[in-house]
Amino acid sequence: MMQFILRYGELFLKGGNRPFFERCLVDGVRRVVRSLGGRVQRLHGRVVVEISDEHEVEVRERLAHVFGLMSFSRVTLVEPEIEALCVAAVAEAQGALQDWEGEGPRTFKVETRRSDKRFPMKSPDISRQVGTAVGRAIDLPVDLSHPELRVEVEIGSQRTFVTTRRYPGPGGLPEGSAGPVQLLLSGGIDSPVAGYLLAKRGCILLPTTFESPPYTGEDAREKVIDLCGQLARYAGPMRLRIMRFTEVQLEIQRRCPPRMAVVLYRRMMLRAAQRAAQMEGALAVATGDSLGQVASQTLENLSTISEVATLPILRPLVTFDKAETITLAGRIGTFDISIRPHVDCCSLFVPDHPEIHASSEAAQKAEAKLGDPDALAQEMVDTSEVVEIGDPYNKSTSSS
Amino acid sequence: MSEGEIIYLDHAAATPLVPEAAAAMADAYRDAPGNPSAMGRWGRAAARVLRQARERLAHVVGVHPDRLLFTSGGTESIGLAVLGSLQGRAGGHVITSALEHPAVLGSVRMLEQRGFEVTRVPPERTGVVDPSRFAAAARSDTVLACLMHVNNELGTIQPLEAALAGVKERAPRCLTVVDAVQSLTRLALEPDRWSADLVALSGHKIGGPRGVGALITAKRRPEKLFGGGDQEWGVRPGTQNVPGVVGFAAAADHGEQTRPQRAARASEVADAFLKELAERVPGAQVNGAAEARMPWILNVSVAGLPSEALVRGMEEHGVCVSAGAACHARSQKPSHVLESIGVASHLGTVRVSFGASNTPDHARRAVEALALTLQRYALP
Ligand SMILES: Cc1ncc(COP(=O)(O)O)c(C=O)c1O
Repeated sequence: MMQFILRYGELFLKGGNRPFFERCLVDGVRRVVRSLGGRVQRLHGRVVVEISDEHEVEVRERLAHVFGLMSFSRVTLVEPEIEALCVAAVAEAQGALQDWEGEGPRTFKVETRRSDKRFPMKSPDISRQVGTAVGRAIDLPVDLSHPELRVEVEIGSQRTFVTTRRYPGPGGLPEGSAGPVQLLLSGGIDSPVAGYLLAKRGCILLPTTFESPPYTGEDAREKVIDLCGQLARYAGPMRLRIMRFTEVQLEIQRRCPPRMAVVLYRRMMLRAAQRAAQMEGALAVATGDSLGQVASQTLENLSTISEVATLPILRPLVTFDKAETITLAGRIGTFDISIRPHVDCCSLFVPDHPEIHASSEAAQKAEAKLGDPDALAQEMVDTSEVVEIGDPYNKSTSSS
Repeated sequence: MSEGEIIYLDHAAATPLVPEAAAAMADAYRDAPGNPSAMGRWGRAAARVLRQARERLAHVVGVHPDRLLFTSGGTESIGLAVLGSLQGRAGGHVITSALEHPAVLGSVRMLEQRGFEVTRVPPERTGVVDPSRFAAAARSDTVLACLMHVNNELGTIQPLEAALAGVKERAPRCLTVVDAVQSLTRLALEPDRWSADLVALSGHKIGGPRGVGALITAKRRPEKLFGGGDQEWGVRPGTQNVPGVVGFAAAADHGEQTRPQRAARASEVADAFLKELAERVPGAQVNGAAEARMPWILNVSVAGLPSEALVRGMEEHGVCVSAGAACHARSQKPSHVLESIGVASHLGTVRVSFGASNTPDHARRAVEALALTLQRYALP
């Protein structure tokens, strides 16, 4: 068995919300370690994961995706006695040297955090005594300001441990702690990244996608499902709502000025997404829009599109350059899925010269030809399908 | 999509296994489990079953069993014919047509990369290669000429006899290769009359299993493309797919024996389709000249929807067709065949290909599905 100590930020621990945030965090950790047989325990200001040694690499990979974690360490648990601490610290340091990649550290330092004041020595004294033992064993000088190897000693009321291996967490806020958001998800590069960033701030993702069969096919749907599967690594299981856009899109094509088409598509999508959001209790609608990236994303058009919604619209990528989005998409594993070549409804029937300054009046005038846009949106919600996206780490919970 | 029966009209892509082939294969799996090259009782049993299958197929296609090589399918047969016949040669001139299957075009492209010069004769707008134009491409250094019997997208029959005889007249030592994958059991197979030295065949287009094919060879066989044992005279090393070739031979035998009835049925079904099409979708255009087509394949273009949307829309109505050939249906590139006969690129095209179990009613329902798809989804 192997122990990990998980650290989370202090920011959200203020005030009465602390137990709630901690519970969200522990749930997120449990979700990723459960299928590996990991046991999760909450300690004072820390979370401990106990798991079988064979899963070391896998569990590190998974913990690196749990939002709300600042860092985590594989630790050696010891009795709170100075001799035991020295022995464990020497073993940890020697192990770290063995696994060191490249040339090996030239300096080290021992850092002690003592929250259990019953321990008879003060932190600086502990560090000094453990440091002497370690220095003798590994024959390296101490550097207090920029050590290359850090030996951390932590003496808590429930656990005392030594560690040399600290890994960064993804930061952010714990899974689900912010509440549900309706995410407009296409098969493109941007919207999954937007979903990732929202999940990182604790949003529960309620993805909604639009398709226009027979113009779009099964492959386009599979692509969106796969994108959700990838997002589920970070955000947990989710339900993908699939709305049929064919008839509305064709009506817009047949009746409205071509220049207005894209703005009208987006208004209809937003209306439908907002209705789904209200039905499912989402508190906001989110998109992958980036300012000025395509014609529908000028400030004028964004404002003309947004006016059909009353819920807040979250656009986490609004200031991102395409290159920044692509880099992040690559890091979170959605890029390779997004670039599969399938027609999606956002790329269908796009005019050569779209309006880039669509006024609210112009949009309303064009829309009048469609009859009742709200009724059309409701129809899209009523006829939508839901696909369950299982938890990639707990396959059996998938019911799709 | 409506539940229930799917009307399958994509037989040019693959046919369901006929019961005769399934039964023969089940027998072979049971009675000949051994390796036909192995000594001992099981090996001998498998070798006997293999020999009988070869004899059966040879009889069906009218050649001596020694001229029949088993392969993994049409593509391999063509590759062996085109590449294996010119193994060791450094260069020369090759003729083919622009409407060949990718199996031919791909192997010919490899020859080109090895220094051969290639002439790809374009078809006429009828979807047929002009035989004198094909023959006129022949030169004294022409070493190989390759032409298909029936085009897999259009169903048009190529004038093999005139084209290949014409080539042989100008280049007597030129080898001639025919891709008869789509015509086997649908039209008569006459290698001698065509002046064809090598003829490529495939199992899964005629009610046999996928992954089995054959090559009819001249007296001199092509050279092997890869090394191994001495199966198939060492030309195609590797343990033969005994149950597969048994199923192939059974399907070919059955298909050939029932050819007249099936051909009559196919004509009836195609006529029903065309009649209904003229009424329900008057703007539709059927590609390939009527007098040059066999009835099993119809290629239809319409305005208002791209090919993929047409196929999906028809599937919503329970009808399975394809957009051009199956091999590039997913690439969404315009078909090289349609391009070569000048079909306008803004049109959507479906290939409808019939099989023995189809009826005139299926044909009418397919047209109905097409008409409804257009009505519901087409844009002006
Ligand atoms: C005309 C033609 N030639 C060759 C082939 C290739 O045959 P196979 O699929 O057995 O490799 C096909 C079928 O795809 C075909 O239609």
